[in-house]
Amino acid sequence: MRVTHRMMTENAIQNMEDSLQRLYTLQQKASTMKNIQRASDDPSTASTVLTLRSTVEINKSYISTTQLSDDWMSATNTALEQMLDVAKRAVQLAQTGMADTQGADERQALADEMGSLLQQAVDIGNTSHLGNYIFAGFSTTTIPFTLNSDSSVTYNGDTGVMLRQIGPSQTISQNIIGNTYFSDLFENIVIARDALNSNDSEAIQNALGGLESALELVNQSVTLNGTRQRQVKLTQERLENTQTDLDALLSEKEDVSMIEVAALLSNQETVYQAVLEVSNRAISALSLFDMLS
Amino acid sequence: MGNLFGSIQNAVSSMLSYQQVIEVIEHNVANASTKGYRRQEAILTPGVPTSTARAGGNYVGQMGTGVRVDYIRQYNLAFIDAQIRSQLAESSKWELSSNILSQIEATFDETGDDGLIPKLDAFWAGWQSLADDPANMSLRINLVQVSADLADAINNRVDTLNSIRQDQNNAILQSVDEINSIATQVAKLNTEITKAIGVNESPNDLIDERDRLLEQLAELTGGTVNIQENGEALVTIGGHALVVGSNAFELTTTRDSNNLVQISWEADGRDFIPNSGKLAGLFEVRDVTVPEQLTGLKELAETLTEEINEQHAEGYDLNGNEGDEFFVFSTSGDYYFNLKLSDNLDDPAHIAAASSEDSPGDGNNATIMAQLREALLMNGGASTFNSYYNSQITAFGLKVKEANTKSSDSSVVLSSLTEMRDSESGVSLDEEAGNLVSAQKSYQACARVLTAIDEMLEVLINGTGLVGR
Repeated sequence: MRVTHRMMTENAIQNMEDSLQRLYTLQQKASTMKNIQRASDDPSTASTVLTLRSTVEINKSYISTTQLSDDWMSATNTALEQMLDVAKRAVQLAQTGMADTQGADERQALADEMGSLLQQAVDIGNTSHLGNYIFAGFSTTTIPFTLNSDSSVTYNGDTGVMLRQIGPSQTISQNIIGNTYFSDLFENIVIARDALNSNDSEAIQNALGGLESALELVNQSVTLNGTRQRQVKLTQERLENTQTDLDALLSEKEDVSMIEVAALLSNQETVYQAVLEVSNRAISALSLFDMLS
Repeated sequence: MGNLFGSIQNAVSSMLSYQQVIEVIEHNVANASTKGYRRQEAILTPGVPTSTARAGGNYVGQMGTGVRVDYIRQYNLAFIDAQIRSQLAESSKWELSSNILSQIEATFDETGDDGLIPKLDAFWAGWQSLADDPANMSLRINLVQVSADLADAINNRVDTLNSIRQDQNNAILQSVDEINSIATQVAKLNTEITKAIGVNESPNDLIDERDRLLEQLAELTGGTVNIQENGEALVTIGGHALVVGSNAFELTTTRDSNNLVQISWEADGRDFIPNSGKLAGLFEVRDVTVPEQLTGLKELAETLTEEINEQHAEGYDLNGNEGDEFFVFSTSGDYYFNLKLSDNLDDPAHIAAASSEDSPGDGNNATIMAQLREALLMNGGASTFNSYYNSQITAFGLKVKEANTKSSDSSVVLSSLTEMRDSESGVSLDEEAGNLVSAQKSYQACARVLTAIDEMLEVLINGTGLVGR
């Protein structure tokens, strides 16, 4: 092939451009530490990366939901344990009052304590968590239980079940409807108090039966809440494991291997220097004109 | 050889021939790096022989009369020229697409943190966290904020894409001007070239000039060129004659209802639809690629509005009222549209997070909203919002990649074709230096012959008739 000086110059320029382009790409990778700058660099990997990132975001929001649900259930659990104590104490008082050895005065004292248990129970029923009443169903901003002057307790909440999404197709009910589990207790405390007040052994015995079944109901709510909380915790653990896996997968897809890039970069720098050296000679190549005298 | 004066004539005309040879070499060397220049060579031929006089005893028949320049040859490979032109058209089309598409891709940076998908994710996460604590005002404000961000991101894309479409108009107008100007120049050169060829001259530099123009034309819009016997170039683009002999047909532009430039032939009003070259690239970006992106975004924004608004209306806000509009989608023209938050969301209490009336603790509607991210609502029930836009990004990425690859591939082919041509018709300085030395030596030799003849005449004129003096 006949070679002209112009061909040599153009070739040299083209080679320098190509080499510089490769150097630029590697430098970009090294400075951003990302394999893909644009979707066009590798469309299928870019698609996977985008999907993974969204999955990570979704997973994070599920984790945050489980965290919040767990907090809610812990608050519920504390309140329910307190309620359980109240119920146990009420049963204990009724049992004490039932004994024949108890006179009217003793029963009067027991009735007073029973009365204060009612107040306590209502207060526990009005527990709030982060400004929301936890036993009121959806009516989280309304005081759920009010103690009337005739010792009856009015429930102002509703039966709304708070469903929490803790996975793509996994929901959990996070709240305990106070009215379902506490109203028996409230009523029976009042009955027992009145029976103690009226010093009526038979009535006290009946009230004890009522209190025991009310205690059982509160107990059920503790168990229910505990079961749910365990499930939330398990889910949370699983979500956190998934998170770790997703992060690893994402990093594998989008992060560059520093060692690889550093090696390629330093290699490309050497190549570029060599190209410059060769180009320098090609461009400044002598022609016969330089030799003629 | 008839007489000594005839010999002087021979020597002088040979010297003049070598002078011409050297001039051609000088022209070559001067244009060694001129784009589109093809090397020329003075082709030497022996002078027309003359018959010697029959009288006298030195009759030898015909005698040579030195050397003369027959013609100036141009090194030219016509078939490579045609290939280069068609490759130029291909290459410049892809180069343009590659540039514009890469620019769009870089502007939107969909794979970065500011892409539309992270905004969608934030929107869904906003609903999910509101579901966890529906009466919480700061979560409501957050949701309004991320929703507005999402709408802004979509609007920003729509505006940018539309303004890119309009930008193509200016480039198209400019290209049409260039084509018209090239056509006029080629027509003029046709006249001059035919005239020169008519009187047996070699209009090499004019042909170079015309070929340069034809290559510019190929870059703009491809086209085919036929060189006629009389040296005229017959140029057609898009199946319509552009230059015939000394006539150039002009293109003209009009604007359609969308303010987009369309091209037609001035003479007969027929539409001109470019199918190669930069102009074809401009049209493709303006009329296919960008509209595809806009249609995809429109589909996304429209469906999102429909679905979100529908679900929002199912719910109740903090004041116990049924949910009103959430997004407002408005469109004007085929590709102009706008997404914004409904004004009533200025008060975030109007977000309908609850499924039941007067239930501040009810976040079930927000949960359903958050779950819409998993719902297959796009592509006729085949994709979620996220995966729909994800495929759009990927498809666009593939387009950019294709344009980049084709652009670099075709420029490789182009440069190897150019190399082939340069190899044939480029100026080699070594060659020219060699030829120069050889022509110079020949010139010197002729001059020496002239000196010899001069000496001979000296003997004849001043030295004869002096016998015995």
